[in-house]
Amino acid sequence: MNKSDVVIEVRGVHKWYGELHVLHGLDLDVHRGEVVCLIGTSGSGKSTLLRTINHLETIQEGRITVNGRTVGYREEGGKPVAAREDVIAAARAGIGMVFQNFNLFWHMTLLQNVIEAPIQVLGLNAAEARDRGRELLKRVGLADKADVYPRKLSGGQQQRGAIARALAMRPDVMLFDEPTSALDPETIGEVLTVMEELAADGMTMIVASHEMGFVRRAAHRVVMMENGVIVEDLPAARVDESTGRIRDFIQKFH
Amino acid sequence: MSFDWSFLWTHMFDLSPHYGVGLQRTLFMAVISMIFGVMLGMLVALARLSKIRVISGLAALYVWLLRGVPELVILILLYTGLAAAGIFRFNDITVFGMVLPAAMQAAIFGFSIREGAYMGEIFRGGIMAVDRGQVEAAKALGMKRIATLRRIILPQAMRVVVPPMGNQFTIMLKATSLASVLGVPELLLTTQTFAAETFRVFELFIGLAVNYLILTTVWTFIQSLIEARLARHEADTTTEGPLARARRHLFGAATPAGRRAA
Ligand SMILES: Nc1ncnc2c1ncn2[C@@H]1O[C@H](COP(=O)(O)OP(=O)(O)OP(=O)(O)O)[C@@H](O)[C@H]1O
Ligand SMILES: [Mg+2]
Repeated sequence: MNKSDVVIEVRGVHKWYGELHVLHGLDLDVHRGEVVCLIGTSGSGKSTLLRTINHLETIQEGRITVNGRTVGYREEGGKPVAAREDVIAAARAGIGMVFQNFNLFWHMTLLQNVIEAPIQVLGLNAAEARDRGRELLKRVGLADKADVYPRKLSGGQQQRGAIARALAMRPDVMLFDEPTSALDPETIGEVLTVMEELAADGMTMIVASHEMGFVRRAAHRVVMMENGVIVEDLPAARVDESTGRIRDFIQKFH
Repeated sequence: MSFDWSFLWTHMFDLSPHYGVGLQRTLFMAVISMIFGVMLGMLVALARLSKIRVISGLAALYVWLLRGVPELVILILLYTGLAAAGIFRFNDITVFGMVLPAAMQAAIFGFSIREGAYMGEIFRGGIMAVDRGQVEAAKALGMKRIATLRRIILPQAMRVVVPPMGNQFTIMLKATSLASVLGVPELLLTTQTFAAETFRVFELFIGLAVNYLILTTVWTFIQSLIEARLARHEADTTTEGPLARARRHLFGAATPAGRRAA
């Protein structure tokens, strides 16, 4: 993979929450079609990293680009400066995000959830959005749940719906923040299957998850974070050969 | 003079020669003031939630003032006080071919600004009750702030806002009787005038009480229907129906079985 294939580029990123220094000059490149699995102990900064990529969190130093464009800020004198709201929103529209708690809009049916942003943000007309929405719901196995409200769905169904909602924006990259850790064990598999299909389709993905099954089946790389930096970065096929932090981590948790 | 039942029955739903217009005025003031109050309340809530300190501070001051002063004092200050000081005098105006008398304008103005303060707090609570995750999901999808407010935050806040808003309207229906002090011939004042002519104060005021009760009870049923509709996406399909809601609004929440005995 050459340099032009880099879709997400994180360079020397520092993030403070007030006094708390959470990201310590972090670097990460993600290439087109690559599936990167992010692991690390609680508090190591995985969520923070994902949230800075689509600018749900600001950064104080460094740069993050998606498809060569900064998200949510301009650079002035080497420092990130907040961009205008519509610029931020437009950049975010191309970055899908899936949350641990699904965060489906609970006052809307599943189909309404999926068509809301395409209509509001991309300006699709309702009929077109609905057709695409139904298509996506079928793809995640929820064709028969289009008119159901989220609270009447299981966690696994909600999470698959949330993935469909993110995909409806036709994102270039997808960020997953512990997508299965709020799920019952029985429903984890159905969500992972959807994610694996997405990976097989060539979606660029960063997935914060400790699901080693997913790592083995779908990930290309495993990146281990500790105290706000990356401490080990291995091809997924070689995680078992790790002699460093990844090995310690896997032994401890599995 | 003994209690005259036949007088009460005759006038129960017709408290004076001007009952019809009086009732109209009561409802008109309540509905219009509520509409203005809700709109104002929305602005007050957004102002209070503003990151700009001056704006949130001014909104807080507004709420403090209008909730802390008796409503009657506000009305008299607006209508009589301002005129006496030569600052501002309400004048009759004509809107859509209808004359809106000065006193009624002052009353509606007073009710609206008071309602704005209460509704402001209710809206603020509703907006703050919306889960942060919902806003983050909207942001992550590329929705702008206004769209997020209009499509996600406000509809969800309504679940929290509607029950107290309905109660505010009940309060408003009753509070319009204060306009009688400014000389607005609404239900209370027309009844009072008739009572002065007939000396049947007790009978007429029992009738008046019944009339207010009918108004507030009918409203309670409407409110229950609205709430039931807003609750349609709750997970639990056995959530209370409109009748159970109405009962709760009218008589308060049921006492848990264990408490009743104690
Ligand atoms: N909004 C916030 N304000 C202040 N501190 C925060 C905030 N969010 C996260 N932190 C802190 O930043 C650090 C990194 O948190 P982060 O959520 O990124 O970790 P994580 O690797 O995702 O952990 P987990 O596995 O528990 O999800 C933690 O110390 C956390 O307490
Ligand atoms: Mg996390």
